Amino acid sequence: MLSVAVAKQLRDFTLSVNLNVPSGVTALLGPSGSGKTTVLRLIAGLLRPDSGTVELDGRVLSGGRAFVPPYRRDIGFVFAEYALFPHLTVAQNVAFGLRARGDAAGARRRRVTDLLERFEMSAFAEQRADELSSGQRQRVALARALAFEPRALLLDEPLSALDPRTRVRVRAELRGLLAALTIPVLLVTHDEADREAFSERVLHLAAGRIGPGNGTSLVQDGV
Amino acid sequence: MIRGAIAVASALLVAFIVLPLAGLVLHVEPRAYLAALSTVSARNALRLSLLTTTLALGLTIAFGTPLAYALARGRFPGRRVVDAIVDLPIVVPPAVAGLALLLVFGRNGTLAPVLRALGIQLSFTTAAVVMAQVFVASPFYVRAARGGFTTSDRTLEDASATLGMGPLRTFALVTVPLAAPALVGGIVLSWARALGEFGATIMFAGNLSGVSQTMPLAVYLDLEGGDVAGATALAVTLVAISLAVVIAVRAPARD
Amino acid sequence: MKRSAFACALGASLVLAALPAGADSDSITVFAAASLKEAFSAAGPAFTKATGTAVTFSFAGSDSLEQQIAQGAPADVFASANETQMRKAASAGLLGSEPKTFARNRLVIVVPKGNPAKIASAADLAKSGVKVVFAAATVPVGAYTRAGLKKLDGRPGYAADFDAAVEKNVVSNELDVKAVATKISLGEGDAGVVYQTDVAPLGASVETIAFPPDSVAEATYPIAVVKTAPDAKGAQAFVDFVLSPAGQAFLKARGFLSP
Repeated sequence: MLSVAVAKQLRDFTLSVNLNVPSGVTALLGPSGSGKTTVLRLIAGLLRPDSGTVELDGRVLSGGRAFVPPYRRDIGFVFAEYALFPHLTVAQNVAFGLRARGDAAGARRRRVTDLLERFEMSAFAEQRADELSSGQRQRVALARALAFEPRALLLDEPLSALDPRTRVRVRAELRGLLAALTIPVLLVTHDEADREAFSERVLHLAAGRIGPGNGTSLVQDGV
Repeated sequence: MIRGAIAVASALLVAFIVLPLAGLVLHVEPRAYLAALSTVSARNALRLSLLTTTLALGLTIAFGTPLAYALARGRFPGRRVVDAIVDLPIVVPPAVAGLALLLVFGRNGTLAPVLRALGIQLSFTTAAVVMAQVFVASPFYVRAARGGFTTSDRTLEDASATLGMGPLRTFALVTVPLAAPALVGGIVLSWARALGEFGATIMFAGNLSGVSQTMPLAVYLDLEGGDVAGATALAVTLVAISLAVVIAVRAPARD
Repeated sequence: MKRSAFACALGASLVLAALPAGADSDSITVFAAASLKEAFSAAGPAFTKATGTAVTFSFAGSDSLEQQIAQGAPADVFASANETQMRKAASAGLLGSEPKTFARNRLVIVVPKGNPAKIASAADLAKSGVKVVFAAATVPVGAYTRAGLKKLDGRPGYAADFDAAVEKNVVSNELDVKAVATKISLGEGDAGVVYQTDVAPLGASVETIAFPPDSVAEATYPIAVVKTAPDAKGAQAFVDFVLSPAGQAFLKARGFLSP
């Protein structure tokens, strides 16, 4: 269970978030500029909240004076433009998190091979990450984020970088891949169509009146 | 019309650079070249230049990289001032730099009491050569590295953090490789500047074969003494080494 | 419009830069040994007043100057600190007149104020640990120094390899005598050898110690017109002035010995 109750003053409004993400996929829907990416960055530890707590499986990641840095949070993150390391191969990208936690080379290789097979990217193992199509990159980004068996997974607009046709296909693929996970998964999107695909649980992020210091963007548990 | 003008201007400048260097090489007579290079003073100069520039480069990278990073990413008071300070050695004439080093680190310099207490003598030593080189050459590296770190993609560093890599490992495995072209360019420029350093060296380190007589000094002195053959041999060797480094460093680059 | 203005400016500056300096016959360029700096700089205005010809000086090591003239530098007069460089210039066909000696100079040992290494005589130059600063052997004063030290080998009070022992103490071979003087006055070396004429400008920052009599050779300074002098008449006028009582007075005032 991922519990988030934080507030952060942004440029145009104060972001105030209060949500729980149980095991399984939760979609967070909201228009551009409503602070969706910020929510994810706060959960991942890439941003410090002004106040509040973030807890994962009972462990406090940020709260009061405590702040666990992002590299110790054990949370996978799939970035909007995938953020694959361009100077590394697909296999090296996927293995990155395993290197970080100190897996031996042999164990790393085995796990990477498994993952690439599962994501149907085995043929591209030795390709440089910047030579792939966006659909392929998305798969690698997901494989990379899951490789080190994180306790939660965050996805920032995973489909918006794709062209409409690819998007439809990948949406179905992604749904299948995510359905197999038992960890809390928070997927952020502005696309209504994603609501249907991932409608296990949908939260809405609505920006209040936008103005300096005015209005609040709230997330409330809801359907 | 425009294409023609571009071609002519480019050709002129390239020719202007190539001609003197080519002339230098053509001036060399192979047997005289080998004889000139095998003298003790020539070998000393060569060895000293390679040794000091390597040390200077090492120090520049070790201290310059964190500085460049701080300048690129840090938000501290006086950052602009530090930025400007780092650029100073580039515009200060080398002889002035040498004099400044002498007046501070020399036997009667500002820091002399401290150095004496530590039993260290700096002027007229090989260490002084390295100091002079670091002074004049490090800004080239810091500027280039700072540029590289500024344009580096932060999202990739964020990704690295979420995958579990701490700040130092992220720096080594992501930031540096991505900034590599800029860093390498800075290293080449900086090393070349150190190799050619003359004015500050002779002011602060003096001129003694085997201790402080680097290749540029040896070339100048040979020429002064009328030994054009010796000077040319060293000069050509300098050019050849520089060319080799520039090529070696650019070879793996992908464009 | 802007482009052609720029091109004109560029062209004009290139032409100006390429104009030979001293194309105007009312000025000459004198290449003189570094040790002549104070004397000649003082004599310059007097020469101009007497003849109406302006004079610019280039002071450096005589070996460096000879090389520059050989490579075509536009000098009118060459005044060297030794005969070696003048003879070299002569045999290379660079001279337009017979060299004439116009001054002599003596070498002295200088030490920083306070004499930190307690140098009492030339013999102490060979003491272990003494940091000695000389001019490079190709510079006249450097050559004179080494010749002089060699002359002291084996004399009573001096080891047979005295000059080699001193050479071991050398920490730097400077490019001209003024650099030696500067290093000693800054206290960077324990002892150096310069001309006695270099001592006065250093003021209280140095002390001098004389060489034993009849040891170091005296420096002989010849002067000649350069063959390719842009202004041969002005050049000869300068040479005549230097040899005249008026010119000699400037040299004597700074400690040079008469020719």
